[in-house]
Amino acid sequence: MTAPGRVPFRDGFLTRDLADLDAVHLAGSTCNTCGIALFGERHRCENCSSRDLRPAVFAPTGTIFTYTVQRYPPPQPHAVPEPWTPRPLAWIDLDKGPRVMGVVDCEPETVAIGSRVRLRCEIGWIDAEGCKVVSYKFEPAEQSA
Amino acid sequence: MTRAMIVGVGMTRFGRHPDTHFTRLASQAIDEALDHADMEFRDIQQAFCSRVYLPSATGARVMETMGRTGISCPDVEGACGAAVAGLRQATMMIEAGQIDIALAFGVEKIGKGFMPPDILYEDWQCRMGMTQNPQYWALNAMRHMHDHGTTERHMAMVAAKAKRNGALNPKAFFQTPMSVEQILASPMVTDPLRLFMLCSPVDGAGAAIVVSDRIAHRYSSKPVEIAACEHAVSRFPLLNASSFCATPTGHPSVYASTARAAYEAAGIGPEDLDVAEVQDNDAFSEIEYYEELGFCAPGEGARLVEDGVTELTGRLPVNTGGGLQARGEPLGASHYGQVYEIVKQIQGDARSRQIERARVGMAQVFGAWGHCGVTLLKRGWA
Repeated sequence: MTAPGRVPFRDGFLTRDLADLDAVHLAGSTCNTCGIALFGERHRCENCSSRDLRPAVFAPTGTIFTYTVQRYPPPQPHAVPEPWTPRPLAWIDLDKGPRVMGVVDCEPETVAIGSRVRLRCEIGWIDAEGCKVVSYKFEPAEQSA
Repeated sequence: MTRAMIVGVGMTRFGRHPDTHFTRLASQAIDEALDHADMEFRDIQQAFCSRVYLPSATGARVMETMGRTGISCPDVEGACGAAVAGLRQATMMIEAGQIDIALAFGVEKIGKGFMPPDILYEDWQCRMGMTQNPQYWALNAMRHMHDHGTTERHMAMVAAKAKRNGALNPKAFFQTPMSVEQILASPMVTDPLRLFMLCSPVDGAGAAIVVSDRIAHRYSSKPVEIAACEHAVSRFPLLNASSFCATPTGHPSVYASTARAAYEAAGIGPEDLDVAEVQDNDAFSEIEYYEELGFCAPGEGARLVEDGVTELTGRLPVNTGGGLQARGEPLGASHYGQVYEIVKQIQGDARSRQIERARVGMAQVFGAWGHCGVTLLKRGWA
């Protein structure tokens, strides 16, 4: 790991080099048998159980398939910003990638089904060992992106 | 093959029971079921206890209050589908001829508010705040509105129906009727779902006595046949499991596939149903289940609401007991609340919420990580 003191929110779900957060991508596996893209590195395909998988790094851009707005803070334990403000949460179809869930960092009124978004990795919280945990969210992308 | 028949059902009122130990809740439901069947507990040959938040060996602890008769009683856990998984085990043992009398029951105690997330989600999902259960249904609802023109008012109409039916059910947690306008004026929790469109996790217990058809007449003049009891864990993808809201794989939703398996096992179709209890975690999900379970074509769920088809007086009354929205949801016991309602309807004992014709009914649940269950019940006497 080239960034001492940083860890991914879960192994195999982000590209390995965490030093430059702008260069971190969501990662996983693509199945060579059924073709499905899976968020998170796997040893078998969640869809067809095949062991024939290849590592995948996913595009940082995508389209909102559907969304909701969380009006209340989620139950503990959470690491959401204080003070609480309502925030959109969406299923996002990554370009040529899987559908993933993520918070969209913007005013709730500005999101819609079909909106374009871009990945943003950040230090989400500090874990029990004192490491900075790299997590992800999305932010609105220019429509031309 | 031996057929499995329900000869007794029981349930506590679902709701807040802070001062009642969970073993007492369970034994109240079991006692009612035994009385319904005019049966002694020592006649039970096998038991299955369903629970989610309660501790290890909950079933064995319940045996301590009912009598240690030396039978097997494992816990069966499967999130909101825990109870159907237990009922299925009992059904299969009866059908296989291994035993003649089984007790299937569930019990839960849980606090107010959003469910404690740590046993349902990974730590990182908790940290990122992806742990409000209703948000998953809200995401489906938003897409359904976009694709099919379903409105908040449709959802409020479903919620109002639940409250209306719950007001007729003395076992329901929420027994106050509420207008569509009141529901639409309640606080938004996760768009487009408002507070009074959501079910509440509650305390409670439910039980069913399942026996072989050979001996059912000893315990009931009106046995109810378990025509099918199916349970499955969703295929990929998981949480966005419905057919209109999934990473395209070609798989049907777990709701549709489990229902199809049940219909095939029972040799009936959705057109044969007289009554149904479905997993209305929220008012939108009920509309979704109309479509996924085959009550109507895809995209036409809201039309059933508009046409009153699923009201008590409609062609296919749904959630006559108030559904999860009014009855409340004690996870491990929830399916037994549904089964209780369908059995009472088929036996003609549903009092002020009795529907006109009830010979065949469905009870359907769905829980975290893709647990889905469908039980089909039908009149088991001539």
